[in-house]
Amino acid sequence: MPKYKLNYFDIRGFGEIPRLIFNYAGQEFEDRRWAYPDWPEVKHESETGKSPWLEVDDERIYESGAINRYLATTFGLAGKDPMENAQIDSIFDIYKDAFKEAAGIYMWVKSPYYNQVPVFYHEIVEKQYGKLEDMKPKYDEAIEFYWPLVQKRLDKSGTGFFVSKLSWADFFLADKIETAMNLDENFEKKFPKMIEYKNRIHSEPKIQEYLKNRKESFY
Amino acid sequence: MPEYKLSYLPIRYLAEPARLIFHYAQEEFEDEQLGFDEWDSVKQTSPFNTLPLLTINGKIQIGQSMTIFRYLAKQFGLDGGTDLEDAHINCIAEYFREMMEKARPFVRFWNRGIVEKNFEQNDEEPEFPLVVQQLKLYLEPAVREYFPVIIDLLKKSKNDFFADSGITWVDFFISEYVDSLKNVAPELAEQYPELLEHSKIVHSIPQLQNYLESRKHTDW
Repeated sequence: MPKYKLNYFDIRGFGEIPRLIFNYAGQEFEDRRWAYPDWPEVKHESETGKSPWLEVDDERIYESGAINRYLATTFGLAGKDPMENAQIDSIFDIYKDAFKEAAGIYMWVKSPYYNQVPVFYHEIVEKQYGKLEDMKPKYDEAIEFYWPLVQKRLDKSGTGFFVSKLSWADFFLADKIETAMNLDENFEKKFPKMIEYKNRIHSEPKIQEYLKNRKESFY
Repeated sequence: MPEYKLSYLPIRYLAEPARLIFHYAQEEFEDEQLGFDEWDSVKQTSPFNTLPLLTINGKIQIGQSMTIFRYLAKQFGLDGGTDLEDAHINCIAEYFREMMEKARPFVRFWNRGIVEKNFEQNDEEPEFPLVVQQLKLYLEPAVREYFPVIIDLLKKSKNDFFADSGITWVDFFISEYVDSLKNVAPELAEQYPELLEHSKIVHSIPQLQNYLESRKHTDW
């Protein structure tokens, strides 16, 4: 078996899916994490200047989508055919698109990480984007757009999973539902079926130990 | 009396010190403010393809903001009292200008949303919105490096201004930028109280009050 090393921030973000896949597969891996303030020192190690990246022996994979697909294929969490894989890729990319810019900034401002930066960063964010209440509509818009799409596919699938069986899409969506719940206490009321879905996915026996012991992460 | 026309954009940035000099001296001038979209036409008429531009008697053109400030200061007694003092305040001004150039990408982004060609989104911190990345990369380091030195120089003066002999154009030059910083990042500006105090004193000068009362607020 090759040596795996995941390199990412000490958050769930776009690094949690590889962690879940490794734990699901019972595969040992090095879970390298760093705090936000340490990123400038680590950054130069990344050939793209970004993270996460996955080291597989002396090979490297950049981009969370590519990492997820590689690990899913390796450990049996991919779709059963090209169309299922395309649907998984699609819902993943749509999320990234929908939650960038104003919606993404809202998430950061609402998070505990916001208070770790100097006050004058806050001042400048407010001048550009307004207060939290001004940014919230963009975030809500993204939520109202994304989760009904997911529900539609879940209904179409009818298996209780995003595709015909458990795949990395389920891990990804459950993770993002958790984030959505952190960001809005009303998410449960708005999307009760999503909560059910998330709880079901998170009850998967092979990831119980990991989920029980893992540290809280706002997003 | 010569006829003066000062041409710039509708912001303070590189022209306000000149405007203040005119108002301090109670000297008439045409305060031409071109829109950002008129920029292209300026390129045809400005000898340096830039603004600000000072036109004297409709014919003589003087470009380069620092040169305009120095020229006007000389005309109206806002330069150094002696050659040596003049050299001293010019050092300070050039040093400050150096800082302004380093911070310039932030100002361009703030005023016009322009991002440098080699700047990559998420260059610094993935969570930070673009404006914070710009602040962190360009404005903050410049301020942190240069402001303490400027404050030291201010303290060495025998009065509230940079020159021992009294107020000069350099006081206008520096205080306007400090005010801009205060507009955009007050808590950062507050870490340099000596410069805030200096700006308050400069902007309290009686000769400037009429103008300052009616002046439109701009961030930079």
